[in-house]
Amino acid sequence: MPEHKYLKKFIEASPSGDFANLRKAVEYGRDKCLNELEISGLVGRGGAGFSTAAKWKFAWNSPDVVLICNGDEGEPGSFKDRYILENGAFLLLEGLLISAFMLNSSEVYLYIRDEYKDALEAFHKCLDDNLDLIVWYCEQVNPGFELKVVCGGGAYVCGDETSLINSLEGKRPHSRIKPPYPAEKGLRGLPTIVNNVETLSNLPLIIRDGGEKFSSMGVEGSRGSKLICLSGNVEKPGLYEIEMGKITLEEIIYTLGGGCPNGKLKFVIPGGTSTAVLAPDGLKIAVDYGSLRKAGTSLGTGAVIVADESVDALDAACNAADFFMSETCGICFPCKEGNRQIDHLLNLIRQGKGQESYLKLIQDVALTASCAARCGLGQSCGNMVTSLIDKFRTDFVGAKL
Amino acid sequence: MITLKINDKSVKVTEGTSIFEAAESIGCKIPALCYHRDLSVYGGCRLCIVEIKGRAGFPISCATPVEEGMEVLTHTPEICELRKNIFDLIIAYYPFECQLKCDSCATNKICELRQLAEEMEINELKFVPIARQGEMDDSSLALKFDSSRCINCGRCVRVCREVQHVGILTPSRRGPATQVSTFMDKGMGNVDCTGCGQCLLVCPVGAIQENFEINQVLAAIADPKKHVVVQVAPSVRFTIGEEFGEKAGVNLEKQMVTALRKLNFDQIFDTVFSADLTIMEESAEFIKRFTEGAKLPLISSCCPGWIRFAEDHLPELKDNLSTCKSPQQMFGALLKSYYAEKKGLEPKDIVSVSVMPCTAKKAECMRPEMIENGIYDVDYVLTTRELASMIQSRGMHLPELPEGKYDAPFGITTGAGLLFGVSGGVMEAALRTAYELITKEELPKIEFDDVRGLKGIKSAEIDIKGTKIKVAVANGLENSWQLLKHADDYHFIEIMACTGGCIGGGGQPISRDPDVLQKRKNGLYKDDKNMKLRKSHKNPAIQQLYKEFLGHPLSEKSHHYLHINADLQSPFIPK
Repeated sequence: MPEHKYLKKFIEASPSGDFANLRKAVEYGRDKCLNELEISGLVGRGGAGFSTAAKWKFAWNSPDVVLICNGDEGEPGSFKDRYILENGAFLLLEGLLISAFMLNSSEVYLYIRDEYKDALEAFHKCLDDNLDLIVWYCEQVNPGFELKVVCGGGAYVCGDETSLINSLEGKRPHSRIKPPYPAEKGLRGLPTIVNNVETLSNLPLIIRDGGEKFSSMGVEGSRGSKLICLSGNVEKPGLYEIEMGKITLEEIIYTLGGGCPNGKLKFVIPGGTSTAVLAPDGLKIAVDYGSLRKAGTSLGTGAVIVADESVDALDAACNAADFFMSETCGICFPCKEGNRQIDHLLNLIRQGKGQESYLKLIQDVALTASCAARCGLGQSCGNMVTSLIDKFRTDFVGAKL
Repeated sequence: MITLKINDKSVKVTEGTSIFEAAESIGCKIPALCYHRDLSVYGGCRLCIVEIKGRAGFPISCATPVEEGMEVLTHTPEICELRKNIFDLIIAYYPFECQLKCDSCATNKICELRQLAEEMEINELKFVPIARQGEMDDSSLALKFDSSRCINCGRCVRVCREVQHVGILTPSRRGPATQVSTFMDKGMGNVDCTGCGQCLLVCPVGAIQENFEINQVLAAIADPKKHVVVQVAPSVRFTIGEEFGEKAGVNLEKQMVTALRKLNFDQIFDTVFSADLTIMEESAEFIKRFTEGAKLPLISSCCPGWIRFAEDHLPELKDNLSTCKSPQQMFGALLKSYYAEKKGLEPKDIVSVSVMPCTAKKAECMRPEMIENGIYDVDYVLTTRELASMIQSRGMHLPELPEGKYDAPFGITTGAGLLFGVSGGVMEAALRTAYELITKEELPKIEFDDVRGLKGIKSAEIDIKGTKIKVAVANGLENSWQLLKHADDYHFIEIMACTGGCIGGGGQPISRDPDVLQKRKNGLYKDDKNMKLRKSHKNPAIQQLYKEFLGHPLSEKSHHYLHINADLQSPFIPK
């Protein structure tokens, strides 16, 4: 069992299981709740880091808002949503109910990754355990409320909210053209709010403690705590809850994670495979959205993957390229053909059939995709590969070229 | 109106216009592959990216509506570089024989990759080609789909779903394996494909083509035992010139007859003749149903794409469909009976070829009800494009050929029959005849303007001596679907599967000119006006045919040769 340094607090936000936070929210009324949410400075935990209150405001006055909780945790190295579902389902449930109340939304979906069987079971058990409270909620708070738990079809691209909406509609999961944004026109053309499991799980805390207190944690643009999924070549992999901006990546790896068990640290992927890697000299960096963005990478979902000297950068790049090639939705050309090309070039290099000029080609493809691709998947697909080439060129050039 | 600046040039367009269209309106062409003016926005190719002052990134111009005061740049060096990269990536995963070796490519004339390469000044390809395997779907009698050529632009998927209400094509599989396919990969011949060929017309790279039958026709011509007869559909003469650089809508009928003669066809006939015959039968059928109070509306049956659609999607209308065969099939049936008798030929020695604006006709002639004792009414169907390519491969330049004449005994035709080539034409021709047959008086005004034009759905109320007849016309299957929800409001309905009718058929020259249908239509109506005979029942050759062979419309013989008597059945025939 991995160690969870702060997590206990997070999970115990609603210890009595009596919906105290929900009752408080209902007492406040939706406008005061929004006010608290705004003060809290909560931003989306799914990767983009967009202000939750700002997103909700787009649909604040619309009737028939659909709320979707995105639990299709597809990012390699990320397991925070799974943990919340398996160990803190009540927290998510309360967050969902508060959010649905605030958004006046009676149509609510929880979209869970299909592989998460235990999580699904835990959530269902949580629903069963709290049936009375849910009945009270449906009768007194949100008449017509309906929660549908949907299992995903296994597409990474459903991390993109418009793809997820297509998937929910029973369509092929590929991204939609924005605008219109989902908050305007989403599921079946209705205004739709899509938020990550971790984001919504923060709602009870904000109501309990007030926005002020929530925002006293963290730094500007990154308020509150964040779950960090630490994995790879570390002594103590696991899930850690950190206060954003107050701890460096180095501390996470060495103090919390105990450092690399054998061998020297080579690079760190700070936020999942769609983010640029950091070399050991770049780890003295505060973990929050702004600082990592400034360093040319991203906090992403908070999936920190540590690689030691035994890892070949070319292998890692091939792995990432293969992943993105397989997971593109196949609609937009720069992403579909670009990832195919990157994968092909890297494999040629690995087979010793490469040329040094290929590295420039890979960078051209990545740039093209980042500028012209249709959704976040395509726009970020080249980050890891190009950063590996930048920082570990010898692994690519070395004996292979 | 909204004013914006595109490349420092001020543009005024209506609200809701996309940047792409606004740029086009001032002659600034932004490269694009998935965009098509008649279809929904797809946003897949990303070639049409632009820069908007004050906005981050590179939005796509096809999906971004104009805004007041917007400043757009369409061809900065950065954008051009990105576009070249995207284009280059497409070519890198294109069949090895492509790689822009256009000189040796069969579809180079219509290939938009080639046009884009020229527009974007692609001189060299920098990315590394990747081997690709594709499959040929040749399950359909009308069309074939080469998936190795497909770039997944989604135009065929959208035209099939949005314009035709058929929707048999869809992107299937995931990620790198994404390809356009049919339900469970069954193939176009094994799903509800109407064979209309609209997908082929919008395909930018020629991945969908008709099932070529040129070789079979050439073999028949070369066979001395075979008597090869060809009939040419009304609309072909107005479009075939486009394949030779002529303007759309120019009638090259006479030159085409000469070309066919030089291609050694034994006899050359005009389908306009059997269109006249169709009118005789169909208006008689209408009058009979109308006066006897039988099932109405009567719905035209000359369009095989429509018939196939009706079978799959509107089986409840099966008793409303006219029992008349299409003009192509009527002609074929006459060739193997009346004509064979007259010429002293065995029907099995006659090879009946037709030149059609249509791909669905290739499947129509194989339907079981079009075959009697192993004898096909029509053996081979060539599209307008196939005929043009046959003419070209003989080194002939069509517009410069001397004028020729169709052969007797089917040589006399009318303007009414000619109108079959355009949406509303069958209706107008039928009304011209029905009016005079019912009233025994001359029609005061021969043109029925309400059923003319390229509108998707047209309707009119015709006053026949105090009897009001409500008629409606639809072209494009989505329009037809919409119209037929209200089928009971009408007495007589004409349906054509393709936009604009046969002038927009799947077998017509592929044109990127937005006004091409307008031009073809205008040419056709102009010629109707110049015809000496403009009513089918006034055609002396038709009158003679009835006297010599058929007796009268709806006679027993007519029914035998010109009508479908069997219950409709799905025409699925495995190849």
